[in-house]
Amino acid sequence: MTTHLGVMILFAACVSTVFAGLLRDQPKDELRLGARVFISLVFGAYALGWLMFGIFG
Amino acid sequence: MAETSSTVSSSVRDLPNAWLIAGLAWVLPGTGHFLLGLTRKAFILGGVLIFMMIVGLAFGGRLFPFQIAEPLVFLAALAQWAQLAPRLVAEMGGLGRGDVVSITYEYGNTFLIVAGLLNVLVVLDAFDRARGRRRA
Repeated sequence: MTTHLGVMILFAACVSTVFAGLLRDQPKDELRLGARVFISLVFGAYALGWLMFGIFG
Repeated sequence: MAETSSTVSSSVRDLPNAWLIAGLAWVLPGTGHFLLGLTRKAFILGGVLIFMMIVGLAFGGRLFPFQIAEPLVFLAALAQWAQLAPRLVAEMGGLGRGDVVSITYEYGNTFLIVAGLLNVLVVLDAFDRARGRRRA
């Protein structure tokens, strides 16, 4: 779990769980929002990483 | 109209002390929601935040001291103190010295700081729910 991707996924899972718990009250809604935040964080960071690699790499 | 006013004042009167709820939520993550009867939410929020702190410490993160001379260190300490009990327990246990040469040192710091900042949001949410601004 010491790879960049592994730590990022763990971090995104924790943050998305907290945001889903705070912003929604029904379990189904929490799950849906948590999944959206998690996917946004992981793929957003992945896309940004490739973008920066393209520009500065 | 009179009935509406009495209903509102009754519901406000029945709410627990919001400041006490916020204070306890600051001491231990999830306690505020637990006291408001949101048991499932309390265990999820508290569990995740304490897990993040444990991961941060396991990654070799540092528990920052309050140093006014170093603004970033000061802000990091402020964020970490947003979880009072876990922070105190970790410090008393001799954890969080910070392994600077560890490859996961910065990851650890990130987990520790973000766990504290997320608990600020949890405290504010518990406060709002206790004040009746959100459905508890």
